[in-house]
Amino acid sequence: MKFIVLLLVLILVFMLAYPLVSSIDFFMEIPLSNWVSLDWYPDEEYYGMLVPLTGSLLLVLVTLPLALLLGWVLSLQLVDNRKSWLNPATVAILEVWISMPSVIIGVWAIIEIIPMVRETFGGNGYSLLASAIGLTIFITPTCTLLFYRSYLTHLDQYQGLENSFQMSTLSRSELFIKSQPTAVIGTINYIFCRLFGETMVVLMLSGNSLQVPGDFLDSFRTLTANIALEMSYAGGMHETALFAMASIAIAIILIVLLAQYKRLINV
Amino acid sequence: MFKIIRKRWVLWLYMLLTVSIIATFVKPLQFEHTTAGIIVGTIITTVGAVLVAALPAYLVAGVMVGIIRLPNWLQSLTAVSVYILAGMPSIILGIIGFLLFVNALGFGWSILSAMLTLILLLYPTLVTAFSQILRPFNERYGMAAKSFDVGPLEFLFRLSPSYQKGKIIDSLILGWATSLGDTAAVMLTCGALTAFPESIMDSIRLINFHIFLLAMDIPGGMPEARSLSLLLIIFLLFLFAVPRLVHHYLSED
Repeated sequence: MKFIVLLLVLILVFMLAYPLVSSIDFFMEIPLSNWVSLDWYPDEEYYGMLVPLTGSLLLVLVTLPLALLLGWVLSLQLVDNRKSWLNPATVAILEVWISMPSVIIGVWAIIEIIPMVRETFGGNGYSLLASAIGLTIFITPTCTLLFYRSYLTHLDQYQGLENSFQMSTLSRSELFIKSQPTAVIGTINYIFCRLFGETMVVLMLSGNSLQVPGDFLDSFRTLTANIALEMSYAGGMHETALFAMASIAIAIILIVLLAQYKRLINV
Repeated sequence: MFKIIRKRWVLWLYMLLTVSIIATFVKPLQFEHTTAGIIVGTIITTVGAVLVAALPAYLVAGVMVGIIRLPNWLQSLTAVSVYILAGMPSIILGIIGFLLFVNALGFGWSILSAMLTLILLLYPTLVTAFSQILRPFNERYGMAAKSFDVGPLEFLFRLSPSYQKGKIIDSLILGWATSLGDTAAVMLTCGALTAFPESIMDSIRLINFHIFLLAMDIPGGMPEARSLSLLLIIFLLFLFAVPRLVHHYLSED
């Protein structure tokens, strides 16, 4: 049994390391100054990855606080109304939302959000703003249910102490964060990874221009969208550069996920 | 009424948003480019992936909840590997599938490659779902089983499924919904042919990738993308209603 489980773990480690192994040629041959730059012209052997990387990070920077705030407010309202008929209906709807294909949200956003952004703010609509709205709507249900379930655990743990809490100077959000730090940090990490790695919604709404967005109405391209767009026709060093891009994404996600390794392993 | 809405305004807002999204898709259905091959290929790939991923996921869930006792370092390593895989973006899993299954193992753009990639995607979801149903079962019957000399494997693969059929099917359906919802992982491994698949080495186009192509690449494809989206939403709603019924009628525990 020990052998089978160890084999499963090793297969997973091997698979995660495989893109890095496949992109070793790229990191050996292409100088650092080439790929840490803003010029992504694979035909001319310029592999600057900063443009799509900046796009991804900017999108996360805009969307993460919005999704966390909305998810937190929604989860608090779910907790407050947990005896109401509305609660099971909303939880069921949020569960369907979580499994909703991202392309469907993308199609909906193209029909509704893009024209709305175009008519309200100008431009062609495919922008950082449209992507952030679409992605916030897409990710909020996941965030809400993660917070909601952690909050229910928090209530179970401190049942009967409600009166003591009312006397406390801390707000209930602060009490929750103090009692469930792993759940809060785990949720933030998970949502970061989901936002950073989301491909389809962003691919459909961002406009995919290779530029660092100057404002919210500019078109841009993320790391994952770049991989999805160019993989079908890339060859040679261009293809290896895309594997290198995937390796960088894996490294960023591993850093975020393993930052709380010790705390998580003790749970 | 106003007071109730004021108290729960975000909940109402989200309900309204859900209704508005579904209403956006409610238009006369149009099908020009969608073939039976797409539907059949999607069902074969996604159901196959869920069924194959279920076995190792069930075993690992048994390790995670402590039914199968392993050294601490291996148990931690297993938990961390599942946690990391759960956080990996699906496009990265698609790249791994493309490198390993399409290129290195030579399966090409095929049902098999897409299925293996989906297994990677489903594995952490299923481990988490199975852990949630195995943990209370182990707490309730674990000690009793030991006193009757029931081994961990027999407990995991014989006792638990016979007592928790409904919940296991519930988890498998959740896995199916997850696999139907993901596009990025399979778009690099399944190919794009719409013909009826004759073997698992044939290239196919999965329905979610088809919706993406209709919306983005095929001129005038948006009405059809909208129709397919509506059908997929209805199917997902049906999938989420079924587990509750299955759970109600099949779970003895």
